[in-house]
Amino acid sequence: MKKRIVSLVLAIAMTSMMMAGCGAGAGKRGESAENSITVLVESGSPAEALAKETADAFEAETGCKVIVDAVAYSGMYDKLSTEIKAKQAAHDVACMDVVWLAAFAGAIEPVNDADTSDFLPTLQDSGTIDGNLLGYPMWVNSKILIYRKDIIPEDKVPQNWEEYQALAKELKTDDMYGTTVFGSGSDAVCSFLDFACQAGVDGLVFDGEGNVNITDQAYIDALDFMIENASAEYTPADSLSTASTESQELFTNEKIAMQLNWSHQYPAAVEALGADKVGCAPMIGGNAGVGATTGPWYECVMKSSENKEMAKRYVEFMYGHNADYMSLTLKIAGRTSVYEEAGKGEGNEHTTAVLETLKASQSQPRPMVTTWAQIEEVLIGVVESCLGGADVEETLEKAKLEIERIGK
Amino acid sequence: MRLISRKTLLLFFLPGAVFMGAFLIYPIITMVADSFFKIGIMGDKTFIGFDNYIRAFTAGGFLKQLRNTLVYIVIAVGAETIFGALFALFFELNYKGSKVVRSFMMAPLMIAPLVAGLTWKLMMSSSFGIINELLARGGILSGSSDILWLADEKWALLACCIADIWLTTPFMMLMILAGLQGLDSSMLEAAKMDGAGLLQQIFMIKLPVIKPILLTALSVRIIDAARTFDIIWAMTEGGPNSSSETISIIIYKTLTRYNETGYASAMAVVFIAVLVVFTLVFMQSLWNPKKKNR
Amino acid sequence: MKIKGEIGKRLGIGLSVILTVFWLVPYIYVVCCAFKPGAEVIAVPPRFFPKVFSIENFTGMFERMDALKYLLNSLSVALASTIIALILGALAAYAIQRSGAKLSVALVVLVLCLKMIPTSSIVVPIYELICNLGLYDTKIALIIVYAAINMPFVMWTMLSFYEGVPTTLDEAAFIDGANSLQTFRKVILPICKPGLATAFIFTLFLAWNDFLVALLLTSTSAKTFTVGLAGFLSAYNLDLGPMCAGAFLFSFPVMVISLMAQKYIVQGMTAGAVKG
Repeated sequence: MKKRIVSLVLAIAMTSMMMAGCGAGAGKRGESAENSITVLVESGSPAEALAKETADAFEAETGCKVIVDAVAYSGMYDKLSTEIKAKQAAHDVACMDVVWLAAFAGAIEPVNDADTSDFLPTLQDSGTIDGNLLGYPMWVNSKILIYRKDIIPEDKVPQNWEEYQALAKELKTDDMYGTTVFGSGSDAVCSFLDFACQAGVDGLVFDGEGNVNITDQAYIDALDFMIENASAEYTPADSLSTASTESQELFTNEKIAMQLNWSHQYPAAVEALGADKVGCAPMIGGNAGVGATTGPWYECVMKSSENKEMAKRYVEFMYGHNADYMSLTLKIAGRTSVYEEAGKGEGNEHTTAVLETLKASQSQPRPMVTTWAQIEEVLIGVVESCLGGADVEETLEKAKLEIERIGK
Repeated sequence: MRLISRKTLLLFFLPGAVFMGAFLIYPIITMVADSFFKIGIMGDKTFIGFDNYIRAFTAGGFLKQLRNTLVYIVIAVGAETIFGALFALFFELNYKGSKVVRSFMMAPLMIAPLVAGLTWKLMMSSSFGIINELLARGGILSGSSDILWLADEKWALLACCIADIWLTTPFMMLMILAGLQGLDSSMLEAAKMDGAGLLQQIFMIKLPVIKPILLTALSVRIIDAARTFDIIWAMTEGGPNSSSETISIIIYKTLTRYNETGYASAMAVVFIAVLVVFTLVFMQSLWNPKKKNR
Repeated sequence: MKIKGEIGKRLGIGLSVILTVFWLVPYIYVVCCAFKPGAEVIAVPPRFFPKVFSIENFTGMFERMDALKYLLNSLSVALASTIIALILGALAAYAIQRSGAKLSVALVVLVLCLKMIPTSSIVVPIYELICNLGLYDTKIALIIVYAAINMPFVMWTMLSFYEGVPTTLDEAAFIDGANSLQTFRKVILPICKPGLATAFIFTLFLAWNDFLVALLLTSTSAKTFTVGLAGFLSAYNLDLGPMCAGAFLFSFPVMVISLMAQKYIVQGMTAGAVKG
């Protein structure tokens, strides 16, 4: 009898100790909110690297600890949206892709008193919704042409679709492909939209009046271009599972001669293959000239943060340290001054390429709509189906209906 | 004379009941309520009646996911049962060390479904997966990029099925083995003496014996297959182009990515209803004969 | 006849051994990858066994994520929720089974239905409930939810075990002057120990292996290892080496325990299926 009581008591004690331990854990979290902030960044991105590197400096300056939470791109949106719905301040600051600003606008604390004079072109507009500037741009990216300088002389660098395809065909050898096609995930959508810009589209997905325009000829041309390249022998067979990372892998393993990839892949390629082998140039142009979608990331303060003052300081601190982005391997930034300064240096040629691409008249941002996550899924489906053999016009028609149903 | 007083019964029952009531039954009720609303990301609710349900069953709703779920169930459970039965027949033999071999066979049973998904994702990768490499070396494929298991609409769902089959065939094998243990060997001997061939032994004697346990195992597995989330999420997240999206996945996506809590609730309610009805029907046919035997 | 039997037997043995090895291949592959240098995991063309034995994936894993914290989270949450589910579930099941009331049949059916509810359906409202209680991203939330979700399973297992205990034992204890609690603890439970063991192991694994609930209910402080593992598939690097290391670390204890406690696992799976 006694033994039973003892064992029961022990069990209860053990359980309650564990629960207490967990409870204390939660309590401690509340306590340390006083002197720490949590920052959400995309894992593997420049934001993560810079956040980790500057955490100590920030703590020295303000006494506030920085906890960096890095999440994969595809999970970031989900996480932010569940947190916002949970109305709990798991993160004080989030570095988010511009396309999400519209969906989360209601949950972000505006920074209207920011000094926008040094923002790179288009960044102030992209970051403003309903008159509120929602965050400081951390870095802006676009795709550029990254190529093997040792194989492609400067006068042969392709500047339009025909030259691009011809060169890819020419460079195909037994050990090397000409180029790649992004057929997987959101990178594929960006590629698709890049080519649509170059083919003359006016307004991505939605035109000036807010109507869905993806059945326009420009989109058809863009998809045809991608399909042509994907089924040609100068690209690897598995375009459907190729995105930015895979393409970069192939390039640094000398399996492709050129790629249209995000500009931050340039310094990484230089590091892998050497500066004499890697060159870069602005995006190629289609019938309507050079164009690309822009991909800025903004550092935003979340409304539900319990530490807004500190969060704001952090965001400003990061903006002040924008130049540091240059010194990291990924080398892109959000301030004009930083870019212009850096562009003069060696190894940073891609900043000039990006600036030129961004300045082109056909370069456009993706639509700022609250339903972008859903629309992007539809577009991913469009690219994947067409690359898999579906009829382009039919697929675009169906997608148009889908997007109209989703609405803004 | 009552063995246990009513009061004590209640005392025993209540803690568990309250706990489950609060965290299992109450959420279900709120979910049914939510399914009649349209709920935005900041928590604003608008009543829309049966709209969510109507939407679910029309184009643009979850009919595709329903179909995928059914296909998944048929392929996965079908293959698991057949393989499980086959393996059980081999493993039936008792020889020295057979217990050890059997235990190793059952090792994958308890691996987290997520880990199983990650494992097969690694193996089926089109760039460095060993599955395609082996198939190519074996001459079945001409190149290692011939079949894009996870990036091709045709194969994505099947790829997930394969991972599921790998994970749970040992379970089926186990159940059938357990059922076979109850086989009266004298019946088998008699049949053998009567000249019954191997196939006849299997179908006429072994099969009827394992029927009840087989049916139970089937019902459990069908429901588990319908609920799969971890494996599919790890391998394809439902892509490409929703080809491997099952009901569980679309409910999750609708909740987190599309922020439509009301619609997700409606789909979840339908899902639960179907599974519960299925369970009841199944159990009804299984229990009644048993009750009669008592 | 005899020779045929011999050959048949040998064939059977051989086949079962081959099958087992074949079935374990994927897991062995993951283990091999865990011990390869990072670059070898994604080498083209892929190899099965490591060329070079290295543990850099393990160090990489601990660097890239707070692996230890997540492991401890998984463990503490699994243990605590299992104990709660076990105690409350065993008690409730006993009440249902011994009551003999008509209501109990309905309750048994209810328990069965609850067991069959898909997690993906129920996370939606549970998530809202946890948020409204202000428990988002806490270990307590996970403990409570796991206990609630797994209780039907515990009850179902114990129900079938109680059925096997004849009420004459209850009566005997009663005559000896024991009250219900004592009867339960000293007479019924010891007999049903295997049932408890089975329920314990299963529930523990269910909580340890869970992914969806943790994915939705945790963020940074209560994150479990499964969620951390899934985070390795990021866009910028194919960090599959550390992922394999993590997968190995996570499933190895499970395999060991299931090898040792096999008897209970078998019982757990067949319980309720072979009745009467």
